[in-house]
Amino acid sequence: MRTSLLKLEVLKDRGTKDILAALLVTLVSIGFMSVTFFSSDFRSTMDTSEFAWPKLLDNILLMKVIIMPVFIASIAGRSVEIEDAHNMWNLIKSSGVSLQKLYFTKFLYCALKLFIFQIIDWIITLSFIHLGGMTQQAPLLLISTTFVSQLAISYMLLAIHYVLSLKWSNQLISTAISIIGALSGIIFLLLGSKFSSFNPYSWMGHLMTIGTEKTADGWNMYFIDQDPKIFILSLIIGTLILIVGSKLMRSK
Amino acid sequence: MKIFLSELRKLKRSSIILPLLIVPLISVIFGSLNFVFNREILTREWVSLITQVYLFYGLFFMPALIGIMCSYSWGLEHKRNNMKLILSSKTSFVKIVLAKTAVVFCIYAISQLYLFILYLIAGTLFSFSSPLPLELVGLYIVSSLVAGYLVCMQSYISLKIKSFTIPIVIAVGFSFLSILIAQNNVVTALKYVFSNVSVVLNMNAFPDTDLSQVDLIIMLIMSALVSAIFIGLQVRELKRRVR
Repeated sequence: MRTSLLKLEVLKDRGTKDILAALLVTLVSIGFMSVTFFSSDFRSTMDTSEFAWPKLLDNILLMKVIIMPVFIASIAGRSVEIEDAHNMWNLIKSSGVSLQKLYFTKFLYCALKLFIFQIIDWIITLSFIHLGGMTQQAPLLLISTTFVSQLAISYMLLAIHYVLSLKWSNQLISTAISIIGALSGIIFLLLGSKFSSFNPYSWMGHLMTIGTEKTADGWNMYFIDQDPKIFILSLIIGTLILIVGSKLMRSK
Repeated sequence: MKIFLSELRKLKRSSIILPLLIVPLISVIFGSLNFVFNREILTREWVSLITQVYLFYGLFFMPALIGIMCSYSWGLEHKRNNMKLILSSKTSFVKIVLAKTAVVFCIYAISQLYLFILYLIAGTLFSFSSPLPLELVGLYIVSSLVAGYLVCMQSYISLKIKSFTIPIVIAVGFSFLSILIAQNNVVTALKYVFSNVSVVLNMNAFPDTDLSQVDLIIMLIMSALVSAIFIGLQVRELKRRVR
């Protein structure tokens, strides 16, 4: 049953512009990172500096703080919008399909889509860095932990916006919250970790591994360890929201 | 005027006002907080405060809000076959497109004014010793006006794409790309096309801006030109749908 529901989701999704939006997200991240990557300062030290790779990854993550909430809200919104458009919920109910099952299948489909988009995004980005002349070996451990944590945060944000989209058929609410979240996310990051720890929309920024401090000679860079709590908390919060949200289906 | 009012009525009972109230408020509150925490670096009072309040807002979130408004405005027509009513109405497509664009632009202009009032309140609370530089106010007005082309462009995208959220992602993505293009200055003429970004970035460097009055006039003209192109494209799209 679930496989056929998943297949149906794929069919419903044909002709949407999600691919276009996903490509735009990748393009924007690469574009932003390119400013650092192709700067003469960076290129003069990129073969020797231990900060080279982390700096590029930090650039990508900073962009993701702003753009990912909106992109994720668009994926979640689109998934619900299709059913809301012609009040398909009633039709589905009358055809004997369990709405709870549909709820989780739709979410699973969105999560899979996001997962595939993120893999493609990283492949394109890493290829771009490699083709751009980076000779240092890629820090596979850092890349892997960043990738997995980003995926967990995306999962949580997807759960939030999926439930918001179900709660309010007017997609304006979920999208507006994603924009407010992105804005607060970036500002909380600027305010410091005491603030940004409490805002899930800032958490992608918490994966950044370079900090700066002002000294008498100027700005000095230092490494920050990635916090594994983010990964775990994202998974827990995302799952809790998903479970609580499933009760919304009863009102459909 | 009649169509303008009817377009306005369509938005009257919507929740579109909420993001327009909340996003500028958040921008000013947290921009001010950031200003307070970094006062040893941010020493230029009004200028420093506007960099905290308006830089991210003007570059990313204002285009996204425009995207929301346009998406909502056309979203109403995409729903329940309303588009067919538009296509079969006696009113000319030019008037419909102009009315929709004008309504969004007016709401956007009010939100810009609202943000500026909040900024003034925040600045007053800080009791700055220097007066508010009038040139900065001028740049703010120009940055708001030149962003008019975004209204027309987003309106076109929202007419083409039925989804509510995809045009907003495009708005955010486009704002990033325009920053990259405007900031790198690879092709100088492009700073006039992505004029809203150029002005906001220059506000950040105020008073050392590299924009002359002639530049600002060219930007306003370019913005009007690009707006006209996108209005034309919207009319063409509606005509295409009739065929």
